[in-house]
Amino acid sequence: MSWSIGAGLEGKGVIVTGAAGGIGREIALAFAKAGCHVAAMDINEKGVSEIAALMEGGPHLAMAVDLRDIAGHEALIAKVQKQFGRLDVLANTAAILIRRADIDEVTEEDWDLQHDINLKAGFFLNRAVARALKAQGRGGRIINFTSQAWWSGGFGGSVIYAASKGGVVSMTRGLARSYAKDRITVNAVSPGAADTAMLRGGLNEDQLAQQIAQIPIGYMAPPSDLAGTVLFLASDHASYITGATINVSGGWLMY
Amino acid sequence: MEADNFKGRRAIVTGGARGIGDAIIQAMRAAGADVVSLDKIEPEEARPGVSYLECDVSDPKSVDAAFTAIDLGGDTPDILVNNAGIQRVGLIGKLPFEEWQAVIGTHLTGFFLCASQAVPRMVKQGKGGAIISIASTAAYVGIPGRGPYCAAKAGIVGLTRTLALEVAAVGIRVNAIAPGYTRTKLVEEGIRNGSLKEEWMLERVPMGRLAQPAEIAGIACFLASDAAAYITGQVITADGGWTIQGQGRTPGWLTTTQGAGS
Repeated sequence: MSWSIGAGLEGKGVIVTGAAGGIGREIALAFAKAGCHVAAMDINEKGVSEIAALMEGGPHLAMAVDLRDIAGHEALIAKVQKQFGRLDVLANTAAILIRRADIDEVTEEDWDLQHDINLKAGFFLNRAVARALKAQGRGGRIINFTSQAWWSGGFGGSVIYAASKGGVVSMTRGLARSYAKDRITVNAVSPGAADTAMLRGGLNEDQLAQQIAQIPIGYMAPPSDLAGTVLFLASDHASYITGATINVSGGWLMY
Repeated sequence: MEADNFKGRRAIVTGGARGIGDAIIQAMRAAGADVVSLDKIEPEEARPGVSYLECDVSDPKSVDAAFTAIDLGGDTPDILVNNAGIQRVGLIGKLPFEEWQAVIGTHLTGFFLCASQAVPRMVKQGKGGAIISIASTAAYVGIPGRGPYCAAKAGIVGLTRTLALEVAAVGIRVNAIAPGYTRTKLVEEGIRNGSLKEEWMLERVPMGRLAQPAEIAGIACFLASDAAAYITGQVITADGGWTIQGQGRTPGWLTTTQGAGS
């Protein structure tokens, strides 16, 4: 007998958005390793084809997409279903952080861009995937990415990013309720400080060291540590979990 | 992921004789762990390869004796699962003090006593460890008639967070699981004595069903595995969406009313 974090995942069709990003790529690789067919989506065309080349097994898909094109979501999903013959999981990591030094530097464009990608595109993609899952009639799993900023609210120039991530948690709960009877679970993962280009962006060495000093576990999360939680939420082990936010923060925040 | 094999890891599971504890034992055995169960009662069905020790986790002497016996067997725990629990139902004002003490003692004091024994052993062994406690959605929502249970479960959450901070530097992770209504003997008892009504539970749970014990056991394995290496001080809620939308109705006999007397 054995126990696997990826129980039940073999052969499933998975969409990973933000798949060229620090966390997204680890998730795409982990799903591929667990025997899934992965549609790796990202706005970064070069990055997404690089990650597709690294994935084990297959067939997989590399899709360069701008998820702000809401009207295009349906066609993306149809392409995945056609290619894999099925869709079971959405792991939605695509997001943008614009970290301004001061709250007075935040512009209306900053607000629109972060909310368009982090929240608006996320909602419509969740709904489009859920429609496809309902039509298939086998249930499914949706895993969204929030941030511990959803709880702490960010600070100064990152408040609007935090607000978009707070929206992700509310949306996750509401969609969990809405789709529970269709056996579609909707959950969120909340990273603390994951060691990615996004996190390091706009921080100098001192500021980074100050952040790390606040983490009880004593180090930033390697992005692959987030992938374990995503696989768990997509696996048979998480069949009774919906509407939850799992905080992967090395004990930084507890809620 | 390679994170999955528990071979060579030793787990102590309290309340392993039945219900969620028994399901956790089976899952951890399947993952390759050596397992010791501590329980006051005999197992309903003894699982192969599991040592069942008699222990009252609410009693410091009994817990001390159980861990001494585990030491003598040459075992050092890598994983501690605090699952032992009992239920006593009654309104505040009517519930006897002894029943309050029994519930708090088993759930909350039991966690404290077992962690007090396990932590120094894990530190001495120097390989870190995982401590997982079974809290409940009762930690978040009031459940009339279950005052000591709700308080004990909320206490487990508080102790989980505190212990997580105390032992983070030595590589021990401390987390909890908050199951919603799970089809165990405790819940079936509640349905029989009328303190729970199945249709009211189902009406409040978006998924429209209760959890099976195995659905909670898989979460315990996740938290004990390397896949959860960066998770500490957390409570994983597994309630089919229940606590997003709040508590359900209350049977009349679990509501204090004017003039009802005792």
